Amino acid sequence: MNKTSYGSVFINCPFDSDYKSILYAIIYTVYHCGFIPRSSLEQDNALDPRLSKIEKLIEECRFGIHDLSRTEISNNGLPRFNMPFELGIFFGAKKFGDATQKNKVALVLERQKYQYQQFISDLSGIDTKAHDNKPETAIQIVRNWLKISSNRAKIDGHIKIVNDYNIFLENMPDIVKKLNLDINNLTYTEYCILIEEALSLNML
Amino acid sequence: MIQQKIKKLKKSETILLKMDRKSSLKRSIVKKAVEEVYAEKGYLINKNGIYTVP
Repeated sequence: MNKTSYGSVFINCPFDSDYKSILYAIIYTVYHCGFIPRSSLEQDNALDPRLSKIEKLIEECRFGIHDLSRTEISNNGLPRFNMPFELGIFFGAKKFGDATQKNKVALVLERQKYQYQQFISDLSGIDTKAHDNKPETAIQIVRNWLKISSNRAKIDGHIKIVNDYNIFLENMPDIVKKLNLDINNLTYTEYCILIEEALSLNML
Repeated sequence: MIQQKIKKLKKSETILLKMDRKSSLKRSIVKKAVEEVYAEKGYLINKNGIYTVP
């Protein structure tokens, strides 16, 4: 059975607080362009091994956004390999998978263009995009990539998406307050539901 | 007389996809909260979309 959804986008990005502004902008843009963001954070079943969840998500997503901008040495003096590892699984699925998996499309993000060549030189020749740690740049990159990769006609321009996102950000603290949630500790699923309901207003 | 310019935000052309996500958050409550806050902040919501008073 073909389980791959052509509207699903695998989000392989850091989830730490320093990266949250970029992550939030990416998730919002994916929704705004008419796609569904998928992440290992959307399930919270301790009985499912983490790697199995990631494999299943990758199998089910035609599109993948992989941000390699946070591979630097962490506080314990070791680099973080999760994002490059999951990018490798995504590449492997495209290379060795069935006809559906071969349709996979990836966007590789980094902070500065070609920085990846210093720590993952096997990717040489891959056209990465640099967001410079700016949410507006990330929105433009993700929107343009989805537009070109999917060939969908009905995707708004990035200026419209940035404007809508800024309005959403302006309103989000009060929405979260009304729901008795902590804006600094929103779960991935809670953030997604907020976006879905906010976006449904200007898509009436 | 103070004239207020009402700028209509362009309605999105994209069709929004929603996912049936497991959460304790009830969608009807979230929808109500979103509508209330947008209205309180000056965004007038009607069947044509969202209007903002700059």
